Amino acid sequence: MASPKPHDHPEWLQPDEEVLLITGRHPLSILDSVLWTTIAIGILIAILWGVGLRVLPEAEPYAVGITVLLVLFWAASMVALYWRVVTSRYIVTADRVYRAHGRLRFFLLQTTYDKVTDLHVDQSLFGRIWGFGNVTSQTAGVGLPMQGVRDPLAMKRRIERARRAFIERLLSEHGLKEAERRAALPRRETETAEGGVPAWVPVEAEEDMVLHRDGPVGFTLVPATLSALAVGGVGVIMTLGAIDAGEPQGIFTFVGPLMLIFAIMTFAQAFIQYRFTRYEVRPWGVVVTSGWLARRRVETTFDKVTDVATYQGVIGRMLDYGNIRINTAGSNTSPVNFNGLARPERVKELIDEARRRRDRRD
Amino acid sequence: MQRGTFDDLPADPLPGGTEEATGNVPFQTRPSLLAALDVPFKAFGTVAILAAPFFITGAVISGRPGTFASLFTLFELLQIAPAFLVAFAPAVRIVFTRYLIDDEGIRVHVQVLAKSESRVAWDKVTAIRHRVTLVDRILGIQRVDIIAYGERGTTLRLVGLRDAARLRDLAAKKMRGHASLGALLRSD
Repeated sequence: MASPKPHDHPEWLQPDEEVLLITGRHPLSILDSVLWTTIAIGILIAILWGVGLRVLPEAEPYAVGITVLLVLFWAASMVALYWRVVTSRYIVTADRVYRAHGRLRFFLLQTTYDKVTDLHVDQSLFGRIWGFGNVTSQTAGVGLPMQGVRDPLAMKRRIERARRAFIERLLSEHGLKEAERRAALPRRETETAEGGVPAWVPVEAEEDMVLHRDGPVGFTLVPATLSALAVGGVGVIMTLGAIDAGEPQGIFTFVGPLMLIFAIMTFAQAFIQYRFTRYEVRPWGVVVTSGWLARRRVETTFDKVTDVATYQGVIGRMLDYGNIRINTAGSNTSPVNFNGLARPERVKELIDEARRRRDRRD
Repeated sequence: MQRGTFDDLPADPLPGGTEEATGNVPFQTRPSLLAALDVPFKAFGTVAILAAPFFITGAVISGRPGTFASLFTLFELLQIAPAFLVAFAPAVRIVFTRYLIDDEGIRVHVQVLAKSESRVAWDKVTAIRHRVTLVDRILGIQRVDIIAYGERGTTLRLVGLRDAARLRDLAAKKMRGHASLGALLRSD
């Protein structure tokens, strides 16, 4: 990430603001969009030439024209994506976080640290391979996503440090007493906090402690398995029927195999969620990690939690599993969900106890 | 009350200095009427893009591309009148819209037949969005969204601004000046 020089500062920064970091977007962060656009255009062209011309053979000259238009649209999309990468700027200052892109179509979003409630990091498969990801600063009003950031975890820590320094300045400006200062400072920092923590609990050890770790129960796979079997079964029957018929049945030739593929993908998605999702309760908050190729980690501290609710259906009550919904502050912040968790009431009590201990310590 | 464009917006360096700078007098301005063209631009373009495949298909089926090209051109020309009728309502609204800025916050006041006023206090502002769309760039205007939190999660959309940077900078300054521990501890 670049060390900011004065001549690098864009004109839209606030005057006399201390710039800590200026960075741009990783060029390969648009790979997902490039692939999806290319696949979509390719499918359209394939349908046009494979199906459209079968119905209207005399329309071949127009098919060429439409293909050229689609290719031009694809090229324009690629140019637009590249331009987005070239013009993207993410800036971390002592007071704010900025996100900007574009020249002709300009976009700028900024917020101050006192409004940031959560920081989310997620990385796609390509991001994990090439070391980039998305860092989103959630506020109560809107999220400020930084896409394609190099070393997203380092960026997240950078923002956390800047936020802490901002809060300390705020505390000095308002001249708070020591106990109130400690209450306001964020807890999740790597450096040891001074005072306010009992001597027998080393802060570093407490921060790393995991009170509870679990994933969804196997029974959560049942609905996806049943629907995959139903759709897949119909797909198999249709495919076998099409093979048995001997000659192609037009577009219906593809329906059976498509249903089969859909069924496999449905089950695969449910299995990946079951196998790679983990819910953790820690002394300072909760963590949800999910995803196989593309990993996502969401951490929420208890000071942002407003309430915790559990839900168990009929079968959930019989087998003692259910969902926990952890609501956080802010109209735009989505709740944290622990889905398909065993003994949800017990886990909810654990969360409530951890929150109470945190409040007492503060 | 001071009136004018944002070029006339008085500097407001610190929350405490506002009274001296402005005499705590609200500042009022209005959006550019060009902002009303945003809707017909988009409506016209969208209908043209959606209608084109039908005319192409008709030309293919009938084997008379020249005729359908003429019909498409006529169709587009006929759109212009309804497009500007569609713009009429937003244009009327823009004529009667006022943006008022004072030490406490920013207000968008609209009075056509009914009166409506949306207000965001500076300490409720969570983010500021400054945008220039393609149509805005052509027309030479800009827009600023003031995003707030609260029970309604208000977003004030200020369009048709000639110099949005000054409003943006003022809102940013006010936002920083009103950064509060109350909001921090409430996790707002």
